[in-house]
Amino acid sequence: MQKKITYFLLLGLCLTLLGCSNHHGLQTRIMAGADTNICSVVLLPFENWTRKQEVALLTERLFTSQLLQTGEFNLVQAGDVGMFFLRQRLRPGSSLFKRHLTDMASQLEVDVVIQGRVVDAGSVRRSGDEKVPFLSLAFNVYDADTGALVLNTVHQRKGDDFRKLMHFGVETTLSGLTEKMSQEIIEDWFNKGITCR
Amino acid sequence: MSCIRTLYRFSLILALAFCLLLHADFVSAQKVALLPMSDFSKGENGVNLQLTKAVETSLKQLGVEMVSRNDLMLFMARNKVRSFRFLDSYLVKKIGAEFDSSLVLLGTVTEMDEKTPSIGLTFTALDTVDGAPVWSASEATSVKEQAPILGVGEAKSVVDLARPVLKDILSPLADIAHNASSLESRDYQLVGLSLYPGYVRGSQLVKADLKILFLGKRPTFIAAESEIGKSYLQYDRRTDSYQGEWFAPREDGRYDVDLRFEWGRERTVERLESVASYEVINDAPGLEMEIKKTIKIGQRLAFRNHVLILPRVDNLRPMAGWALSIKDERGQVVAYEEYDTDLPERMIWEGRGGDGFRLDNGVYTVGLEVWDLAGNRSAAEQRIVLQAYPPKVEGKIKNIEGEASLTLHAAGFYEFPLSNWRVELRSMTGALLVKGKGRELPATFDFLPVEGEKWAYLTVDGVDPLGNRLRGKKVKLQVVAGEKKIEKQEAESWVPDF
Repeated sequence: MQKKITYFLLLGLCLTLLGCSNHHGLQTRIMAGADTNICSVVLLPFENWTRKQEVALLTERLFTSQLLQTGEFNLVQAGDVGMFFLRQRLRPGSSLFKRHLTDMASQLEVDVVIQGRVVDAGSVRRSGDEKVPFLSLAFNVYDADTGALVLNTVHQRKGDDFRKLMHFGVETTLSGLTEKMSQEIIEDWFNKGITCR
Repeated sequence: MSCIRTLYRFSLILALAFCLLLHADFVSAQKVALLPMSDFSKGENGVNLQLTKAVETSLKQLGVEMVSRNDLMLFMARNKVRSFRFLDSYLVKKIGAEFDSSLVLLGTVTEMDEKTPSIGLTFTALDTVDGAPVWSASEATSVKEQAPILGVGEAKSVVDLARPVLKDILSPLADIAHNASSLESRDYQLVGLSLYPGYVRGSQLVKADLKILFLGKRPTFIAAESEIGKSYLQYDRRTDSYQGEWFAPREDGRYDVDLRFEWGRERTVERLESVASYEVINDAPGLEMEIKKTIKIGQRLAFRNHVLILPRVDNLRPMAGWALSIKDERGQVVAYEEYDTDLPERMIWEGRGGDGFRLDNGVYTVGLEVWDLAGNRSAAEQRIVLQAYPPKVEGKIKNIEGEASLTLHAAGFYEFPLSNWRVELRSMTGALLVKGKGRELPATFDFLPVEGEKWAYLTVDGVDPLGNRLRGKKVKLQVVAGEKKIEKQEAESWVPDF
């Protein structure tokens, strides 16, 4: 009997630890010689590779929120980015050339330009009637002064990746999942030395 | 005594008024302007006024003073703020100045589902002093995540879910609003500075059109300044823009233009650097033209089918346009094409005129002209010979007293004669009268005609130096009877008549 209890306790511990496992699917590659001292950032409108129209806006807004909550970066207001696009006669979603980035650096006084992309989003059906969202994101961060790539991040998660025990911890909303993934990405950036010094 | 008392009362009133003024400033700094909440569950441009009201109520309960929603809606309509993307820092400051508010709050419903109640919210507060975001919070939840023990107090609707979420999210905002301050600043929204033309030749006129909005008073003067000096811009009430012009410097190069604001009587200078630029280009583009797929015959370049025209511009610059012209020997333009684009890497001319038909054999001049955005022009031309079809060959038969001869000579328009040819003359009954070949024309062949036949059939094949083939086609020739020329023989020496 005691053996069985020990066995179940160990199993529970394993499950708990699995819940706290590392951020699988998250990869950040920092370019050699890139300047990681970043204080001021501009977030471009997210690209949307999915068929869901609102996903890019949702992700962009929640990622912005998480960036602001860190208190580490000065973020340029989205309206100012829109105004910059207007002044440069660029349509939203236009590809930016190096000179656009350098102009952005001087006009908006930013260190880096973050270009986000929603690669995939949706929901998967689990046992019973349970549905969990999934999301796949990619980021390119460019040095605004030189136009060079600073880092590249890809990340993907499902809502039940965060399960701790039973139904606890499962993210059932896309917003919740985006929030968690944004936190993980920003935390990863911090761990890799992206800070304002 | 009464005078002192009056003075005392007056100073007391003054102190009280000062305190009230300070207090008024403090109170005004707490105001928060909540814009209608975006609702992505209703589409990209969705708005949720019901939840906006709920947020307003929650904030009021936290002791935050709110800017009237109707006034804000009017402001948004007046300033064409259709979504948060249109709200730049200038407009945030303008809201601050117009409504005495310290913060502008933007709220978004990222998702909302009534069926299995779930909600996602995010808020961002913008400081009206500099228009930058200063605070943000987001929260998402669903009934599945909040399964309480035995279902006690389970949320039945989105409203049930939203209430505690709103309370949690918004509580820190009261403190931020209290600590925020308002600042009067000389601020502006630079819509754009257009310089035209952007590329000029030295000493040409450059015109500037500045569209700028000011939060408060306009500066006394605005000047466009570059390394050659400054030029004051005049305000045009009709277009609500500043306009000016100056002459470009003579030296080549790119000239950055700064904006110089001169404020007040003291003419305090504020400068906005590198707002626009223009470039002076004086040299003509170094154009070279090479024509390929031609055959050099003697000193002349010739072709029969098509030529490749390869233009090359030495100094890289923004090209404005190019024109290709083909002229005949008399100088008349037979084809002309002009484009307002960059020069192509290669062009093909198939020897056709502007009407699309093949041109006659002859000498043509291919001319190419390019011009850059500053208006500098450059041209190149080359003469080439077009021979799209071979020369014709005509034959003539003469029969003098039973001895006939066939004379061949070239005819039609041509620049180069046949380099090889072959001739065959047959009688009407098929008897071979002449068979021969040669390289040069005219040529003569003697033959014995068939008695009684007045006609013969001539066939000539050949090829010119460009490869144009003359295909043999039977031509009926009349055997013309000619008179024998009597050659007068002059006496070589005088013979005495005896």
